Amino acid sequence: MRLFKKLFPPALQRINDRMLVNQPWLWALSPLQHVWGILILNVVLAVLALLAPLSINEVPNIEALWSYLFVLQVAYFCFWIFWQVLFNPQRQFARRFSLQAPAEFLLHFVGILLLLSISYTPTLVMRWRIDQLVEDQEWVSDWNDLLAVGFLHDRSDYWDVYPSAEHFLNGFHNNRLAYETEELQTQVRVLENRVEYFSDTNQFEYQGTAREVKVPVYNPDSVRYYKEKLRGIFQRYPRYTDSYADRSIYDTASPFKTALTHEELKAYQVAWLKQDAKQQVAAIGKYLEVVKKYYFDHGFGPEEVNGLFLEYYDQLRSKSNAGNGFANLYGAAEIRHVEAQGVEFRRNQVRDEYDNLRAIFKAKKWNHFPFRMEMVHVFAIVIFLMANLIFLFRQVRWQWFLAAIGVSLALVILATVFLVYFKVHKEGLAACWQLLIAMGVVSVMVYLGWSTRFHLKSASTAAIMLFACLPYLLLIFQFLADEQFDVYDERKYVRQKTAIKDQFLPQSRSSGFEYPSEVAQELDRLTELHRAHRDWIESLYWYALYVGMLLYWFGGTVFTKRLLDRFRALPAAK
Amino acid sequence: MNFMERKAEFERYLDSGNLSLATRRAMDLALDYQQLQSHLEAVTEVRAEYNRLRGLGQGELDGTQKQKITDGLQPFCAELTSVKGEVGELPHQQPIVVAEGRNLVKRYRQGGHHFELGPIDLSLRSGEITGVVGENGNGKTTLLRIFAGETSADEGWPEYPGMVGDALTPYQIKQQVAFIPQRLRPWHGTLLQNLKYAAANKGFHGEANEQRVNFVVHRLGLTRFQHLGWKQLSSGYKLRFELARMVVWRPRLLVLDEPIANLDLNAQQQFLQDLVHLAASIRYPMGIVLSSQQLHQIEAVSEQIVFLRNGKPLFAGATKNVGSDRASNTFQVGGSFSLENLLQATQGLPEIRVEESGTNFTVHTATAVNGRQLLETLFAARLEVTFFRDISFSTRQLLAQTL
Repeated sequence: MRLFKKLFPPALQRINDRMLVNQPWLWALSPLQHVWGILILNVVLAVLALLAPLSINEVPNIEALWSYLFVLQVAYFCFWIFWQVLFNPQRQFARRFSLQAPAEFLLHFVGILLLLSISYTPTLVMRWRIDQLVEDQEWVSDWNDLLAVGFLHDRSDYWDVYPSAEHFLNGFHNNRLAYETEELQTQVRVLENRVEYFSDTNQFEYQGTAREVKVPVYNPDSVRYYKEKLRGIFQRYPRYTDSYADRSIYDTASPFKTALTHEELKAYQVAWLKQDAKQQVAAIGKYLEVVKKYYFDHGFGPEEVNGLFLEYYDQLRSKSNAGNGFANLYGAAEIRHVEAQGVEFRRNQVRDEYDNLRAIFKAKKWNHFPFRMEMVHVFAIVIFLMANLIFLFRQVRWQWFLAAIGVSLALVILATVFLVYFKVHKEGLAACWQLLIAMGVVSVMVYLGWSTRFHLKSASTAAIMLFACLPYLLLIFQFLADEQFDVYDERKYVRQKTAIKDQFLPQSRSSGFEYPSEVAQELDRLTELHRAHRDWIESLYWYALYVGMLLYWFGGTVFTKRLLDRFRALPAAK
Repeated sequence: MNFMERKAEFERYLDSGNLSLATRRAMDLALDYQQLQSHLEAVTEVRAEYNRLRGLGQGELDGTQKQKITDGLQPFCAELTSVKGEVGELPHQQPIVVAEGRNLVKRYRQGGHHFELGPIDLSLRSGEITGVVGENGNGKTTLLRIFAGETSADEGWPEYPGMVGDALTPYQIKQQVAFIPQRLRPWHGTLLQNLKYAAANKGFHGEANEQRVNFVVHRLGLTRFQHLGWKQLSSGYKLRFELARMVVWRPRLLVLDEPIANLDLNAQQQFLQDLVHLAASIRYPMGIVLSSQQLHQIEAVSEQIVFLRNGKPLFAGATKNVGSDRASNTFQVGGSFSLENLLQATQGLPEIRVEESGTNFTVHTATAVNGRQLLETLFAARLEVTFFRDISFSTRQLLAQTL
């Protein structure tokens, strides 16, 4: 604190002193200290971000960095609030001017907004440095090289093609099939189904033994891990290409996508399957180079890759040819139909060799969290809520504020228990009624408090709760519209759509059916209509929020201040 | 006190070398009288210099220092001789009654028992000090809190006719009432910063703020401490700063709960003297109500007094009327003699009754016997009297009845 005072520029101190004797309400919010403190923090953190060690194989995660700095932001916020509590003009029943409440509220809002820079400035510096590590095109190329082989590591659940029974058995005999119990069990289960269907007697033996497999686990930072992993690629992946339409490999024209769709992954798969042995080994070589560049020096040179894997691959292929009939038998059955076209593929396991590339990607990509445009909405709402809580906190005694928080929490718990007990599924309608009832009750309590000659704690508590919720009151209309839309959706759209479907679609099949063109057009029209309504209702959500917040800021804060000042000034009952 | 009396008082202090009081009263005069207001800044600076010089030594000024202060007051003295005492236009009409409560009753549980304060009728007037006295747990603080708007009365409702405002809201009333509780809350930041903040909050901005804070700081003898923090102060100075923080914005009513409980005798006297002067300002008078156990000190400065016992006002009225309807005269006597010696010595006096009260004796006599007669009787009996006080006109006699 003393250091901060020493660092505070004399010119600002003079302005601050003038502010003290002329605008004490503004001085109490310590805007100059706040701006100066944030400026210093920003500079210090930016310098630290500039000097922090950074290399291509040790790239910090931008999101994590932002989150860590958020903790600092919260700590500074608490300090700022503490200062405001120490000098609260309301406690001295200070003179006010008519627009003081909106002005104070705006300063709270801007103050918290400035706080955000503590997280953003060093993050921006760091992302600039990360961006300088690799050129965009180089990143795209490396990413493709990594995925061209690396996609094979992923869980088989996500793929259109399972490893063939032959290779499963082969792998099983070598005891090097997989690294995860879950993965292995999935394969066994698939095998069981197929075996039952085709009643091939040979399969029963393997099924029984498969459950007793001890799965080897390797340290991901060891060379052995990579050997086993790459060996597994050949063991697990057959060369069936007949069922797939060709598709160009990952589109390099629109780089920086790490969340791949199923279709996109299939493109890698198809590309892989179309390659001959030499090309595949070359791809593995590139893959290992990228791994070495961004993550870990596994010790494989290009010659070693050729020697080790080409030889192994040849052996594997000869085995595969020997069991050709077996493989063909399963080939068609192992193509799993994809129902949800374009469903976003999400990795459920973070692979180390992807981390740095992903971190670089996040630094290069401007629309990634925390730089997404949606965050503007989120921050606007959260900051408004926080500004309102500070605003309310300064108008009342802290005991009332704590009581309001306690009562609010209790009400939420009660409402949740109620909803669960009565199995209420219509969340929008339930929330709407809850909000209306709660606001009705607290309004009555506030009115009772207003009409008495002495201060009632319950009225103050209710007033805090009421004013904390007031900016979001217009959301009721959104809830109602949403509910109405659901009804429309259920009664009309779905019924129509089902009727059209029923007319042409056999009950036993739900997909892969070609509709007649006029039906398809009608379905498209309905879908568009449905989507337009949905968009309108979603935009209503934002309108309701922003209009409510603006109304509260301009008018609500004045009324709030007036009422809470009255409560504060009234003598306490008993 | 009219202008001539105040002028004479100031000159007396100056002539007798009591520069502490002389500088303080000079500031009060300069504030109150229009023709002297041009000297306000100068006398404030002289007072500040006096405070600084006192801080340098052991509290007493040497001859040179005294001369310096006296010389500093000379221009003011010269102006004073030509002034007739015009007050000039007052910033607001002086109200007679600042706050008034009729049949105030408050019930609450105290120590597991139901306690009822009141009914009490009390009017607090501007320019006057009202003392609320009584033993512990008799409702003094509650009565003060009712007038300060801190707690509500169950019956009756204090009105504030002397407050400024068209339709007085609770907030407007609170804006004009200052309350100093017995336990002071700590301040944050420097003391000067807090005083400026308090004044600015009540509308003293810019130059007026600086002047007002300067006046209060130096007037209350806080010059040396204004840049310190709260923790660096003794409890006596904490109270003075709390008083400064309240009077700096000129409240219409000042409520103090047991303010002098933790002060030494000199500090008590100076504090009460300041209260008298602040309350009696012609330009900015204020009503003061304070509670205390120090009956004699409070009676000495109060225009009216309320004596509470078990929540009931045994006496509530002008201090000069205390004991006017007494049935006997009451004296406190102490010395190196026994109860028997005392009884023997006073047996000739009419309606004599003697009680032992702690280290002293309480002597009740007929109203015809005054203090002089009693003392003569005691001296005639060759008793060595070391302590004597006539409490016939003090609420102390009411307290004596409860012992």
